[in-house]
Order: sequence, then C-alpha cells, then structure tokens
Amino acid sequence: MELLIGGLAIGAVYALLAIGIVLVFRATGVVNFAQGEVMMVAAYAYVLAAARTGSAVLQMAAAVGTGIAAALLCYAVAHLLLPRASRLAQVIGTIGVLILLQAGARFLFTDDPVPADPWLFGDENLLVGGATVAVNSLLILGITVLATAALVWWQNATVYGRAVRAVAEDPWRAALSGIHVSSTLATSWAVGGALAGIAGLLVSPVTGVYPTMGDSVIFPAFISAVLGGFSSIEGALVGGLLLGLIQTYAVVLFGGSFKEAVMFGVLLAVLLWRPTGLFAARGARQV
Amino acid sequence: MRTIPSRHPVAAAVAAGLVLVALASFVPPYRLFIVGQLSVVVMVTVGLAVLMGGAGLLSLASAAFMAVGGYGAIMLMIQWSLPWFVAVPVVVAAGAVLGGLLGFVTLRLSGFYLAIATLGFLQVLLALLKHGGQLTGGGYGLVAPLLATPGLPDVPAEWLSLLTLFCAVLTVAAAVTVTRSRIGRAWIAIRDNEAAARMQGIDVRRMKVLAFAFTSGLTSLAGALHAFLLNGTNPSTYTMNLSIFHITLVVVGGMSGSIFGAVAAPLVLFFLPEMFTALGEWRDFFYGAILLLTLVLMPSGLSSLLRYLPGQGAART
Amino acid sequence: MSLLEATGLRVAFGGVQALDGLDLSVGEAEIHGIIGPNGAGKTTAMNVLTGFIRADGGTARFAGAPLPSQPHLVAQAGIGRTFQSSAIFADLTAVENVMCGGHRWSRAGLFGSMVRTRAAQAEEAELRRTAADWLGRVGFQFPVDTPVGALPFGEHRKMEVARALMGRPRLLLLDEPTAGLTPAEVHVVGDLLRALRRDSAHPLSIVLVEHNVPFIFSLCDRVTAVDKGRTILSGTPAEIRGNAAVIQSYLGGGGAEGHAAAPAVPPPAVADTVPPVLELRGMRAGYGRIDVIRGVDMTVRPGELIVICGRNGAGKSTLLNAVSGQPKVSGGEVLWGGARLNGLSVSQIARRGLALVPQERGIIAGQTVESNLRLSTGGLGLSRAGYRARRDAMFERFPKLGARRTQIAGTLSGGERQMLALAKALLRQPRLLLLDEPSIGLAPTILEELGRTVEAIRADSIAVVVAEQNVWWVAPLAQRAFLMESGRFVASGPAAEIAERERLLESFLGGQGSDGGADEAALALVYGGHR
Ligand SMILES: Nc1ncnc2c1ncn2[C@@H]1O[C@H](COP(=O)(O)OP(=O)(O)OP(=O)(O)O)[C@@H](O)[C@H]1O
Ligand SMILES: [Mg+2]
Repeated sequence: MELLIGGLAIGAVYALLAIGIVLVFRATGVVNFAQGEVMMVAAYAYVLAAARTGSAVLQMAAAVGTGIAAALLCYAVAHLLLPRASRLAQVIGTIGVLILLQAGARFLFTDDPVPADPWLFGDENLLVGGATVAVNSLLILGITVLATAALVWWQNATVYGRAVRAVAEDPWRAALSGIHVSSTLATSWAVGGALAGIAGLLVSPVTGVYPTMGDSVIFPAFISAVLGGFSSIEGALVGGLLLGLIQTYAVVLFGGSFKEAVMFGVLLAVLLWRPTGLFAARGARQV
Repeated sequence: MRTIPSRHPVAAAVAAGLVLVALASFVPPYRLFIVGQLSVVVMVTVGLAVLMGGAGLLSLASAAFMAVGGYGAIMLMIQWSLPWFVAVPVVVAAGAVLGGLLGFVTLRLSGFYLAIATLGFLQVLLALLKHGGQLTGGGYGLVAPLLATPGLPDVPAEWLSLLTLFCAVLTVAAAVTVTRSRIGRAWIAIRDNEAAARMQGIDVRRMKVLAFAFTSGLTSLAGALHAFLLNGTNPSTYTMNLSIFHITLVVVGGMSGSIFGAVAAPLVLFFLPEMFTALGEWRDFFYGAILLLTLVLMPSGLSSLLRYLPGQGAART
Repeated sequence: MSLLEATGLRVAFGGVQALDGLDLSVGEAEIHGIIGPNGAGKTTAMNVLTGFIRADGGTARFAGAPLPSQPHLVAQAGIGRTFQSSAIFADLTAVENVMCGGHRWSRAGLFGSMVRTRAAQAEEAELRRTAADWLGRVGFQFPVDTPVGALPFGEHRKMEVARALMGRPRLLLLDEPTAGLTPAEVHVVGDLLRALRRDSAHPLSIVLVEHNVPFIFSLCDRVTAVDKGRTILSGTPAEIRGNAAVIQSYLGGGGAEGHAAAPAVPPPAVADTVPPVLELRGMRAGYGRIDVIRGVDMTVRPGELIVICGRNGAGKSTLLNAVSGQPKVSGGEVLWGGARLNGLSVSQIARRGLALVPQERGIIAGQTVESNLRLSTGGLGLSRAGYRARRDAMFERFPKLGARRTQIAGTLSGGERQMLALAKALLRQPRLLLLDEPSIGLAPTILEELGRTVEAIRADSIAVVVAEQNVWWVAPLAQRAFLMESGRFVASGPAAEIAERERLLESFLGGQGSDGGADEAALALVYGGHR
C-alpha cells in the first residue's frame, strides 16, 4: 500500500511535468527540454520563500510565479529570439535555456542539495486501511488529478483549446481568423510553467533542491507524455502514474540499477505495439 | 594500377585527407589529441546529419552506436584476438546491420516518438553493457589492447589522431557524394513529402532502413576510433546527453541535410569550448551562450554561411 | 484492349460514400478526361488507383495485370501522377525535384553513389539532362537550379508534370494540372500533352481531372463524367456535352463554354464622395530584402468589387497578404478608414474587419468543419446563440458543408475546402473581403454560384477585392480592375476593358518565357504610351 501510494505520488510529479510539456507541444510543436529546470528554479523559490514566511499561500505563489516566469523565459527564447527558426532549432533553444539555468543555479547556490520542508502538512501520516500513508503523497495525487481535470476541460471544451491547436497547425491562418498568436502561445507556456512550479513545490521535500534536479525527472516526464500519446493531457496523467508505479516496483524487484532499462523497455514495447502511444491524439492530422 | 580520373571524388577525398593529415602532423602532440577527438565528433555529426537532415529521422541512438563501435572493436580484439584493422571493418558492418534492424523495427514511428524509442534502445544497451560481467567489463568498461600492426614498427600514439582525421575526411566525402546522389535525393523527398515520394517509385521503408544503416555504420566507425583514442571504453561515456549533444550539433549546423554545417558546428560548439578550458566554472555559461547566439544569428544553421562564399549562390551543399 | 480498366470501385469514409461503383476505362495512347462536381470522388478515384487508399470493392487492372496495392509499386508498374494540391520537395532545386521522378528507372545503389562509380556518374548525368529537358518542355520559366520553395504556384504545377513524365510512365494521372496557370500556360501544357500522346516510341495514355471545361473538351479523346461517386456517362466530348444529366449536375448554365451567364450591365461605379474603407499609398512589401510589391496605389470603397489580374508571380498574392499583415509593409501607407494599418499584426488587422481567403485556402486542416467555423469568430465576442445563427446561415449558403460538419477539414475535396474558406471569412461579416484566386478547383456550377455569392456580398455594401488569372467569371460583375505586372499596377479602368487587354497580352506572350525583351515589347503594344 505504501508502495502503491508512493509510486503514484512519484508518477504524479512526472505527470505534472509531462502535462506541461504536452500543453506546450500542442500549442507550439516545441518539445520543452528545459521543463525540468523550470521546476528546479521554482523549487529554489519555494525554499527561499519557506525560509522567510510560514504562509503556505505565499510559498505556493512564489513557486508558481517563478515557474511561470521561467517558462516565459523559454517562450521568449523559442519564439521571440528564434521566430523564424525550425521547430527543432527552437527545441535546441530550450536546451540552451536549460544549460544557462543550470549554470546560473550552480553559480548562485553551488551543487549541494538544499533540504526543504514539506509544504502545508509537514511529515504527518494517515492510517488508511491499516497502512500508514504520507499525507503529502495524497496531497500530490489530489492536486495532480484536479489540475488535469481542469486542463482537460479548458483544452477540449472551450474555444480556447481549439484556438491553441489551430495556432500550432498554422499560425498565419489562425491569425487570419482573428486569433492573437503570440498571446495564445505565451499562455500555454505560462500554464506549463505553473504546473512545473507546483511540481517543484511538491517534490523538493522528497529529493532536496539542487541545480541538476531537473535531469532526473525530465526523461521520465517525456516517457509519460509519449506513453500517453504526447498530445493528450489525460494520457500524460495516466502515463505518468503508470510510470511511477513501474519504476517503484522495478526498483523493488530488480534493484535500482535496472530502473532506467525497465522504464525504457516498457516504453519501447508500448511504442512498437501502438506507435502513437496509448492514447492517440484526437483529430489526428492527415496528409 | 588503373588510373583514376583526377576529379573523381574518391581520389579527391584521399588527396584532401592526406593533405590535412600532413598539415596536422605539425600540430603539437597534446593538441593533436583534441584534433582526433574533434574528428570523431565530426564523423558522428555528419552521419547524423544525413539521417536527420536528409531523411528527417530523429534519432537519439548515436551514443549507442558509438558504444557498439567501441565495445565491439575491443571485444573482437580481446575475445577473438583479431587485429584492429580487421576488427574495425567488422564492427562497422555489424553497426550498419544493427542500425538497419533498429530502423526496420521503428519504421512506424516518427518525430519525437522515434527519438524517444531510439533513446530507449540506448538505455537498454547501456544496461546490458553495465551488467555484462567479464565480457563488457561491467561498470568500469574495457581497456583497449595495443594496436599492433604486423610488419610495421611500433608507431607513436599520435598516429591514431591522424588516422581518425583521415577517416573523418573520407566520411565527409562519402556523406557529400551520397546526399547528392539519387539515394540522397530520395531521402530528402521522403522527408519533404512522403506521398509524392512514394509516387516517384521510391520505396519509403527501404530508404529509411538504408539511412539508418548508413548512419549507424559511420557512427560505429567513429565509436571504434574514439575508444582507441581514449584507450578503452567506459559505459558512463555513452549517455543520452552525448546523443543530445550530437543532435544539437546537427541543428546548429543546419537541418537541410547540410554536410558543411555538420562539419562547422563541431568546430564552434566542441573545439571552441575545448580551447577555452581556462574558463572554469564559466564554461557552461559560455557554451550556452554560443549555442543560443548561433541559433539567433543563423536560425537556419551554420550552413547559411555558405551563401556568403563566392560562387555558391543559392546552391545547396 | 484498354490499358486501364476499373469497374465498380467503392470507397466509404465514415458516413460518406466517396466512390459508389465508379467505372473507368482508358485505352492505349488516349487522353481521357474526368469531370464532375466538387466532391464527386475524382481525387479519391486517383488515390485508389495509385494505392494510397484501399478500395472497399471493385476491381482495377492495368496492362492486363491487377494493380499493385502500394504507391511505389504502382509507380514502378508504369503509372505516374500529380496531386491536386502541390506536392513538391521543398528542399530540393527544381531540376532535382524532377530528377526524383527518374528514381524508378535509375539503379545506382548506396555504395555506387558513395564512391561514384562510372555507371553511377553516367546515370546521374543522364538524369540531370533528361530532367532539364522535361522542365523546358513544360514551359518552366526559371533557371533549373532554382530552389523551389520560392517559386510561384504555377511553376510548381509545371514542375510536377515534368516530374511525373520523368518516370517514363505508360499512364499519367493528372489531378487539375492547370489550376493556377494562366491561359497561355494552359495552352503550353495542352500542346505538350498532345505531343506526348503522338510520340510513337513511347505511347502514353493520360487521365486528366479538370474543371477547365474548354480545355478538357478540346483535348480529350474520351471523357468520363462522374457524380456522387458514380460514373454517369463515358463517351466522346460531343456526347458528354450534349448529355442532359451532365449539364444539370456539372456544366450549368454556361454550358460547355464554361462561361457564366454575365449580367447585362455591370453595377454602377461607387461615387468618389463615399469614404474609402481601404487606401493604399505607394505601398511596398516583400520577403527579405527584395520588394515584390513596388509602389501600389489603390482605393477601395464600400459596395465596390475590384479585380486584380496579372500573371503568375506578378505579385497579386503578395499584395493581398501584405495588406492583411504578413509580409510586413516596407514602405508607403495602408489606411483603413483613414487610420494606418502599417505594422499591425495579422490578427489585429483581421479584428478590424478585413478578411482574406488566401490562395491555398484559409482552413485549419487538422480540425473539423464545425471547429473551423467556430474558430473564425476570434475577437468578435459572439454569444453562443449569435454564433449558431451565423453558422446556420453559412450552412444554408453552402449545404455541402452542413452535411460534413464533423469531417476533418483536411479531408474535404478541393472544392469543398474552398467553400469552407469562404464561409469562414463571411462568418466574420467583414467590411472588406480579399479573395486570392478563388476560382481554382471549382466546378463550373459552383463557380457560377460563387459569382452570385460575391455579387450578393458586394450589394451588401461590403468591399470585395478579387485577385484572379481567370477573370472571365468575375469581370462582368466588377466595377474596376487593375492589371499587375512585376509588383506594380500597369493599367487600370473598367473591368471589361482590362480583362480584354489581359487576354490580348496573354495571346501576345503565348506562353513565351518571361524574358524581358518580349515582355516589354508586348506590353508596349498593348498599352501604347500608357505605361
Ligand atoms: N479521408 C476522408 N475522410 C472523409 N471524407 C473524405 C476523405 N477523403 C475524401 N472524402 C470525401 O469524399 C468525397 C470525394 O472527395 P474527392 O476529393 O474525391 O472529390 P473530388 O471529385 O476530387 O472533388 P474536387 O473537384 O473538389 O477536388 C468528398 O465529399 C470528400 O469530402
Ligand atoms: Mg479533387
């Protein structure tokens, strides 16, 4: 039981990052490699805020706000600095941001992990069906599921969601129908940043905060997104949770050194079976 | 011996290679090592540029095929006592076949899915290498045996760097001739418009597998030479960050299948930072900054510099 | 015996029965036309024959053998084809594009290409020579080494024909090859096709899908008329032309001449005192450092219909695109009801009430018809009910769209896409409507309908500017026309007069290359001292 909830909680963090990546990808076709660093920056903001104020709301605001700011930095690089570059060049642009953010963090805070206190509930545990479960794990799960539900509604049921996809497909034609392209793009990046901010807030008590903390989550996040079809939000959630469980049980069964191989093995198997992930995107494009 | 016309690309490539090697032999030995490393990076980038820029296939398996080349060559030399000049061609062929297989298995994937799947291949391969026991040296990797050549006296270590440089020149030549051939055009056609390409009688599946095989062969060659240069293999060399670095180089070079860019990008992003080792902790800033700067100044890659060369016009290289 | 024999082809997409028992029989060395309304299933039939779509039923045999089921095998069996919307290899030069067509009969392998064996070198030279030759024969007007990305639409079409011929096919399937070509260029293509069929060394059969009715009837030996996925009639042009069912479903009132019944009198000119919606003063625009539009003056008033004619590459599309915000205007002024539009973004300009239907259709291909319409309300602040009312009005005007509201727009037929693009623009109830080559790909009956629609919009006091090469359908409806040449207006006046000059000019140039001397001479002849 502990294992289950723990695995799901790890998965939820992957899912939060994955959903941010998916949102940006749907809107811009850019795969944000710096998403892990956005989370890292937000995590530092959370630690700094927690040292100054006890208010959970302010701490949350610091993390989310910083996440948004860092994501907008990525937006600026990918779209304002590289307006006419190919998608892939924009992706490489986010790698540039990744390198700079990591180097910046290392410069300011050194490589040593900064410990962080859990947000809101501290170290409390709950007795569920005879097993002790960290309240924090439940909190992570709850927030993630709620956020996903809200985003699914926002993207699929509102005109805004359609506009996002229209801009992704063809910015010029979308603009001809009166859709403001840049603000649509920026909004998607910002929301992705907010999600990464929440992830940073939730994960830092578990792992500590250090400059390269993004490296260890970005590929699991990618895998979650790919498992879920890469442009489906609910898919990314399921992919993330699934991956969290697989990883947790893989460590228990085979030991830590096979963690990666098992994760990617599962991914390979899924892709060979269904080349566009478990949840194929709606309205798939045809040539 | 049959005379080859002087303009023939093979002769030209060999000549160019020899000239460069002759020039490089004046470089002081400790710098020569960097030249050798640079040559390895150029070979990998050029191979990947054919796959990505040419055929439009995004692969994160370049580190994996470097490992195939490095481990493969050394294992052949240790286990079967093959001389190095037999082991290398064998391992290049094996890399090409393995690459072709990977290409075949992933035929239905494209774009980022393909990238992540090839990354999976790398991770699984790495796990195998790390837990291969005696055969692969586990977490420590393998130490390269002496590269003895029968009939030749022992040569100084620098000759390896020169050999690598020579191979890099041949690789570049091969990539240029292939991309400008019927095969190279078919790759670009598939990338630009698959339906129209099929209607020209191009067998898309075959061509994709061929592209994978070609690139993987080249990468394995680079990997073998890399392992010789470093006197061995270490599993922690072949990370996904290495693969991402290679992709970065291709993109910075220019995604139009440009071989020029694939040669120029390692000069900017590998050689330049190597030259500024004194920067210490500022090196990451430096690297990130030149990366972004090249992208901003040349959004379609270093190959757009070609336009400024006299007599090039709008020609594509 | 016929070369291609297809019987009872059936294909269904979800609810739409795109092919419903189509028969087609093409003889040796025959030019065979296929006509039919938009959405009749013509392109689908080609897709089935070339292996892109699997038929649900029916048989197809080519040269006595069943057709292979994959496109590249079909091509290797000797069938070449072009696509309805341009399918170019954008990263290759023109001649390289055409050389790809020779893939089927060239042999060099990976190794041979890598070390350039003698055989590979000889083959490469042969490919290049043949490709350049084909480009010349289709009337390609640029140096063969031009990168194709920057070429005008019409050159793409010609290049695609050359590429298909490069494969030495026995049967050539052409899907609207003349869409977007000027009459003179159409002439060149027609002559070429005739010559190809006569070429006895290489007998070639051609299947031609076209909405250019005079072209089809003058060129083809036999014509098949299709409607709703079925063959109505197959026969000589004379038989088809006289058939009541064909006239009713396809040819319409203009009949075989393909000319809409023009109203007796053009609408009256709008008085100069009416304040203009749009005013261009010495406007310049272009891509990169080179200006394509080099000083254009134009005033557009409400209730006015203006035609801009001119050849491929004259700058018509660039002008309309620049007015709507991209590429950026690099000089002069664009005034919207007196206020400057210079420097505003595309969406800002759209929100002021200017709507552009671009040449290659303004639809979002990945979303449904309904979604496309909903999206086009950006910035209008419509309520749900308000949107529904407008949408239903559009479905009334274009019933075909109503029936396909859940279909992904990218799978619509060429003509249906055009209707959707128009509906999207009209839904915004713009004050100025810019249409870029709206006639491309429309069946004659639909084109007549378009004429009526445009007339109705104009009568509603909306200004309309149409850029067209085939002006005959719109000239009788327009008050004024401009003739564009190399980024400038070289003539203006009553629409009928300009259209006539344009026709004259075309016949002078007769499809010659755009070589400066001939151009200048012809222009001088037509315009006298007016330039
Ligand atoms: N993939 C698809 N999914 C759903 N419907 C489709 C698909 N492809 C075609 N259709 C429908 O099938 C019908 C026939 O289309 P097709 O493109 O063959 O018409 P066409 O005769 O070529 O028309 P046009 O002259 O306008 O090009 C159309 O109604 C179209 O909407
Ligand atoms: Mg069609």
